[in-house]
Amino acid sequence: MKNLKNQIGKSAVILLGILIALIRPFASGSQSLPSGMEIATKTDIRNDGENVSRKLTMELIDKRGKSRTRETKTFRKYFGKERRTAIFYETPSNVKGTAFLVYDYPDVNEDDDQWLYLPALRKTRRISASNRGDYFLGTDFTYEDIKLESKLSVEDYTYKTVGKEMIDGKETYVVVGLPVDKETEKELGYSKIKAWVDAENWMIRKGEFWDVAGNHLKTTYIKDIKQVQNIWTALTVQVKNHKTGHKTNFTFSEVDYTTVIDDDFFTQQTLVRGL
Amino acid sequence: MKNLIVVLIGGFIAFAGYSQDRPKPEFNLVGITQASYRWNDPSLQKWEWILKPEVRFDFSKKIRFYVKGRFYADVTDNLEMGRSRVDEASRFSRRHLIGDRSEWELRETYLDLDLDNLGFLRVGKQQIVWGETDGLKLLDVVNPQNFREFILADFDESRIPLWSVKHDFMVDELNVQLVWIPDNSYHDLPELDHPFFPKSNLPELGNSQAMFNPVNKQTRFFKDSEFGVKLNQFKNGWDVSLNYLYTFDDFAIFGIQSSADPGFDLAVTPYYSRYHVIGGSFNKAVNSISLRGEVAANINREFGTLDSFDFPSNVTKNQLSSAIGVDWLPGENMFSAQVFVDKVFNVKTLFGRDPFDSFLTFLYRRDLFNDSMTLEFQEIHNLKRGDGLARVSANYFLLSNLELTAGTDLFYGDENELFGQFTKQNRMSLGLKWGI
Repeated sequence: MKNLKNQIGKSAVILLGILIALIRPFASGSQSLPSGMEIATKTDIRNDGENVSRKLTMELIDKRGKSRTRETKTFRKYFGKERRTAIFYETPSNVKGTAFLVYDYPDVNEDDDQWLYLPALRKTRRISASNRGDYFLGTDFTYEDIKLESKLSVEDYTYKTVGKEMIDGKETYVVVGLPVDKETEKELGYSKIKAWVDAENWMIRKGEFWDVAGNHLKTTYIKDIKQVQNIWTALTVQVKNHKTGHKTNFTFSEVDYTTVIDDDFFTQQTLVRGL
Repeated sequence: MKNLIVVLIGGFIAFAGYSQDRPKPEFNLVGITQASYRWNDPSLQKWEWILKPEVRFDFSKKIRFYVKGRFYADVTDNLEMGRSRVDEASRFSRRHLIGDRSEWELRETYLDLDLDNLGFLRVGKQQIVWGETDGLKLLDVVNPQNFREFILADFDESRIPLWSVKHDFMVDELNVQLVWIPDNSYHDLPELDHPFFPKSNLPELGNSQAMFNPVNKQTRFFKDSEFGVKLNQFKNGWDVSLNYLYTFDDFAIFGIQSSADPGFDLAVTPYYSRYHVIGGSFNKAVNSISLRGEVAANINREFGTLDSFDFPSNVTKNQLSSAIGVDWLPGENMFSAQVFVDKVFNVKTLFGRDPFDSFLTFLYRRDLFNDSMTLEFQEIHNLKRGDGLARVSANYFLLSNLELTAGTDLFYGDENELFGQFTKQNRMSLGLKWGI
């Protein structure tokens, strides 16, 4: 009986030791972790070039595996603190000419301006910026996801750092973001997001999203992150919608940060004219 | 006109020869087949096959040549039975009929020149689209239209491209567009026995025997040119444009006189009259909706009237047309509504229409399965006469470049009215569209 007590006592001490060993590094690590908002701000101010042009191939895959591919050329440029993005569809022929333009203003109280050119009408349609939680032209990305380009919004969420994890062999900070208010939650279509942010270059390597009802909505993987002209760049982005089973793969190529893009690319006239 | 085209093509060939940069041609082809079945007069209304090849040559980042053709065949020959001439368009813009069932057409051919600070120049056969409205046109009157299927064909397909020069340039934040159109082409209207012949446009001549003379068309290259200017600015979230166009009415006016020929009571001579279009448009996103509007004042436009004579005579009047629309896009849905109001001033009666007219349009669209499928309902309703057009359609992408289309077009109302006259042409359609 005494032996049994001794054995239990020894086991308890060993178990306690293991628990302390497991908990201590996490506890000491969490003390030194940057705050969620610090991490979000790091992604937000990460250098993404004064301007960039690139080819974007969108692959849309339904739950049965049927795939549709669209090739686009995209352009982004800062005009002071205002960011303008233009996307021009090149293939297939039946969507060729479709183009999207967004003016993203630095003042958070000022709605973005967005236009969509529809070649069948030969007219440009104004799109309300409050639709930023809607899905972008058949993809699993929302208009807001497209605009953020693998950054975390510092205006729309409050963040909390919940730990560190390895993703694709890289150390990442794990942050959870909650919308700042119910109205923002409704606009974005997300009640919670979780992001795995690379501790070295502040690129997001993985993201999880929950819808307004609290259901797990989608997962994003950024698979190929490289330095292009000294700027960290996501070259492959995959998203899976758990509700619909639909997947979207974005592949970027011909990325160019150095060639200055003419201001005219970001006008309605160029939207109509095409590239 | 012929000389201009020769100079353009010659210039292109010369440029191609001397260009330092080797042109990089890019080829695209879109094919469409669609069959429409009408049930009031049970038969195939059409079974069309369309091929639209296009080639783009980029000589440099600043110079481009673009050409797009269209080959069209209707195996039923039920839309334009026996048609052998297309006279409304100028010699250089008309479609070329091949037998009874097919035709080819040079849809667009232009040279684009990026002139840096001097703006952007497009010279050649092109479509110039103004305005903000859908379905009905106020400012979108720069190019005429083919009414082979009334307004059922896509505007991009039915709009007739014209040989013209368009110059866009900036003055500070103001975009200026100058347009010069030396191409005297007008609406391409069906003939008397064609299913979409607009009876409501013909003058009522009672029991009089009338002799119809050929259309009196303009032929002077410079003097009969059309020209216009559009000023457009985006400021504080408002897109605003001001437009002016000195144009010919693309619908012919019927000059009616007593006939010198003893075999006829009246001699009818169609002609095209000139008028000014002054107008503007706007759009603005407000919270979750987008507002858009358009107004066009048609100054000194000729209309047929019965005010003073026993048979129609023509009077020159002013007309004001306006429209306001609202778009709401919750999620994968789109709701769009427009109200059109149109008034011709200082006239009691007009031929084929009322001096005051108003329309309501409604559009609902829903994208499904990540835009693999689109369902659409559209209605145009004349608030005064009660006739209209309702359309239901569905599109489904079988592959990236292969689209299945189905739909039905339903005209309703009195058969003497604009839309009601086509109730016998109500139809359902099935089609395929593919591209390479």
